Amino acid sequence: MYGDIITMGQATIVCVFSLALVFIVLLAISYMIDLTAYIVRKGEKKQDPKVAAPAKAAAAPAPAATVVDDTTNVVLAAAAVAAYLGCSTDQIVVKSIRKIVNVETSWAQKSRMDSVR
Amino acid sequence: MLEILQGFWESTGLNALFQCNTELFGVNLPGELIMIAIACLFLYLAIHKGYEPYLLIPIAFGMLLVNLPLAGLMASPTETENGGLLYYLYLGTDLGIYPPLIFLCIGAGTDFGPLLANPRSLLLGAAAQLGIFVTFFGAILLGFTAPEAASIGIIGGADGPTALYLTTKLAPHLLGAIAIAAYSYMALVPVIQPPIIRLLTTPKERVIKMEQLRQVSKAEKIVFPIAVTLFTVLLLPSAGSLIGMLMLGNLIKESGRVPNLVSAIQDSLMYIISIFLGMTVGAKASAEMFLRPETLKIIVLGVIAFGMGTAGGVLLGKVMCKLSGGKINPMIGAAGVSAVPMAARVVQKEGQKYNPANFLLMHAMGPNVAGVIGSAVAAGCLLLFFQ
Repeated sequence: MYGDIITMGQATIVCVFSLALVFIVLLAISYMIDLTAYIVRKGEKKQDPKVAAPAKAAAAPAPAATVVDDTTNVVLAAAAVAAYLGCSTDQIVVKSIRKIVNVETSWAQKSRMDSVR
Repeated sequence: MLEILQGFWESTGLNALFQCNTELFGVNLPGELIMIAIACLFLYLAIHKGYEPYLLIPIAFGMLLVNLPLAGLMASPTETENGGLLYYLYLGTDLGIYPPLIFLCIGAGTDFGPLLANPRSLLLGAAAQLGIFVTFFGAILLGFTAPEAASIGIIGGADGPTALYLTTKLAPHLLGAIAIAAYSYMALVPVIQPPIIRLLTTPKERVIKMEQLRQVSKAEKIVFPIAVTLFTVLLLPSAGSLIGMLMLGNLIKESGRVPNLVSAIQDSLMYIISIFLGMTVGAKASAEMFLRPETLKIIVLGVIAFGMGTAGGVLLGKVMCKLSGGKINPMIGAAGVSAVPMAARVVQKEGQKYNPANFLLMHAMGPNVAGVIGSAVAAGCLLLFFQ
């Protein structure tokens, strides 16, 4: 479109046009993402009633859950915490162990691990 | 006997190494010797200091090889003789094959989840491209031709493969200097960005905690690369190679159907291409092409490009912070320069300095990957004007 030598006016046109185009393209992509998310969520809502029924049925036996022997997990958790804190396991009381459902992205996990170190 | 010894000495590279045949600022210097010393310095930085070793080792060794006198590793073929090894390997860079292949590998290793969860962060990726165009303007003022200025400006995108791709198309004679400036500044992102972030943000803005991002469904992640490719390449065909390969790599990963391909692309292919690309880029840094006053100008313009890109992202971040009622931490705008994931990690570290309970990494990854798309689009624009 332009040759090797351009005037300052042409350079300004190149800068303004290109930067505007970058913004327009990325803004359009961001709205495209919104649209996709909307369509996907709408599709999921339609499927939800079918999924909800078996989920309720499955949840019913939960209160009757048997007590599991957690001795091994308690020992391992206590040893890991003691090793991290640099103290003896005698000084640690494990009151409960709960498995946390992982909802974070891998980036978030990495940042958490980095900040622990 | 003396004549034989003299003939032998004159035929060796050692003799040629000490010839003062490169003129810089009116002084004749032993160019190859200086370039070998620079290559050894880069090897030291890469191996001992760990600065971008995966790229800097091949680049520095390519530089070393091409500056060995009489070895002819970059020699063009003649009617009677084949060309040098690096000449043939360089065809992959010259023909624009390696940089898009690197983009394929980057795509296969990129999680667009944070971007999909917060689509407006794409705007921060766009604002951070400001450095490209400010530097383009500056380079024109300093007397570079328009294609050269565009190639120098793209350093501000902080995206190695994009910079190499554009430079091979517009100003291949500047490839060595631009590649070294781009990758050096990328390694220096943790040094360059924090002062600019601190200068442009208030302590109150730096401690802003952002809400946790929503979870993104698999369907959204699969549709994204297809939709972006269709839209962007139809609008800007010149960005097709880079955007197409980036999105193909990402689709291969997100499809979840071809784990072996993902593993091959993320590991083997990435490293193989990095060796070829690095070596051949280094091979363009011969004494006659590198030891010029222009190289110094490129190095200065490169740091301006990085600084302006960071500033552009942070300033738009401040605007978005005001518009959102203080829900967006403006520091994440600094991650809009690509340099994945280094720029996002800088934002995370800066955020934690002011609020140890603040986890900005996933929020910064949105603008960070948006910067990759933004710089590829900017490169497409510049190709449209100057190719």
